[in-house]
Amino acid sequence: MKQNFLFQASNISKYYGQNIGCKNVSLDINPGEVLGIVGESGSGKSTLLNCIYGNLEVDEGDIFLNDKSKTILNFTKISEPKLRLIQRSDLAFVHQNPRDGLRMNISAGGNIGERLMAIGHRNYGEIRQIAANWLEKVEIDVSRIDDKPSTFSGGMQQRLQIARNLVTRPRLIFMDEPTGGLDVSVQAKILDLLRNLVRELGIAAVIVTHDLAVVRLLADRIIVMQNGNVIEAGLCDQVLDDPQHKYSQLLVSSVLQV
Amino acid sequence: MIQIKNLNKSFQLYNQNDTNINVFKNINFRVNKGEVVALTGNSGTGKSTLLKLIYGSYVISKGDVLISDINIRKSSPRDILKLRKNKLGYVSQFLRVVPRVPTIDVVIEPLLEIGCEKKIALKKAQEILERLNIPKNLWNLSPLTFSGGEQQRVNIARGFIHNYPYLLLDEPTASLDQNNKNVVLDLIEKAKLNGSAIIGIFHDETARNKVATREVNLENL
Repeated sequence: MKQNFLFQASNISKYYGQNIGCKNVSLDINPGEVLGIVGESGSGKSTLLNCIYGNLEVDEGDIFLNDKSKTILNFTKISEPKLRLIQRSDLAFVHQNPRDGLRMNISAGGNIGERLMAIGHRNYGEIRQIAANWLEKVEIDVSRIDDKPSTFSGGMQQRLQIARNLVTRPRLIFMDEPTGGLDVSVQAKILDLLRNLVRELGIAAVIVTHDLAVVRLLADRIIVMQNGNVIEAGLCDQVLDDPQHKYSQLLVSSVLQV
Repeated sequence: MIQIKNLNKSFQLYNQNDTNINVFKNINFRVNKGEVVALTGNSGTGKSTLLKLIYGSYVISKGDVLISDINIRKSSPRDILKLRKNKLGYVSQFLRVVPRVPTIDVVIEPLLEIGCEKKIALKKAQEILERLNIPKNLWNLSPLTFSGGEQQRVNIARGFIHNYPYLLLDEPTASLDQNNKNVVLDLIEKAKLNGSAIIGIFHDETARNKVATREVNLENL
């Protein structure tokens, strides 16, 4: 195994009874890289994402993380509490629907602060200050710090979810359709935000999306899935501009030109 | 040096009656440091395709593209990304950027990617935008709202802000007025003197004659 890798999943399979969730999928990510996972609904993108994050138990395969202390952890071998700790410190997960990733009945500041407390922060003033800085970073007016996310618009909620996830400085962030369900002007803002954060903080990301324009702007490499299998993988612009597989060609040629 | 060896490209279109399109066969030429090679030939002879093969955006069907000692066909996506970041520049005809990002941020991006300090990057971006006659009041606006010629100049600014030793230019002067065309030709001339190896497509014959050291006609190969 290479020394500088951050994350590696090898031969991941997940079955739902007779049905294939995903089959024999391997991928690896270096620090600071953005990997896109594309494919139509039901192709296994979200299943794969949840498997490699450790949310879903895999039926076959191994998942390795080179953690902050340079120890290589195998998700399928470590204890449940250890995995939860890793998920909160080294990793992060941004849901398509911000309601799944936020606590709607506590304040915006509380949503960010909670993550800090979970990794050991105790100084209230300091936590509030960090939360305020992050609200600013994701362009939410700091005066809204004590408001509940239920009073926010969808785009603001999504940005809050991103702040909540990034405050602990994860090294790898998993995103499931992070801009799905948002109107296009808000999408653009979130794309810009993600790109800058990824570059400034050197965070690596895995992004699941069915929006090819989004992956083109964000991803270095992509994998294309169909029926739970990876049918093509490679350089982002190469797969989009000169797809080699029949299904990838169909996917790319089906996009409406604006 | 860029070396093209027995290069073949065909497209297999599975969803369009399995059509196989042969673009070209057995292309051979090399471009040395300080040379500008102009690709010529009618539309459809594969000039842009050739640039995309060199850049790694298209898959090579047969043959090799060597950039210095790097073989594009045998390179991993990571190797190609590294090459693009540091050594291989590409000015396309189309501007693809995140919507709502200001022009100045679009232009400094290639420098930030290689770890350049933001202050220095901004200074260089201002210089090149001024040189390309992009009015200062547009720098903080997204280039997606600009005219075709302005968008093209933003693309050129991105391509020339870093001194790439290898540079691919797809119609860099196509929609520019004479004055801006000359600015771009000067930039190319300067890159040439700096020792860059450049391959370009120039439909404008006077522009081509001005900067090209050699022509490669794809129809005669």
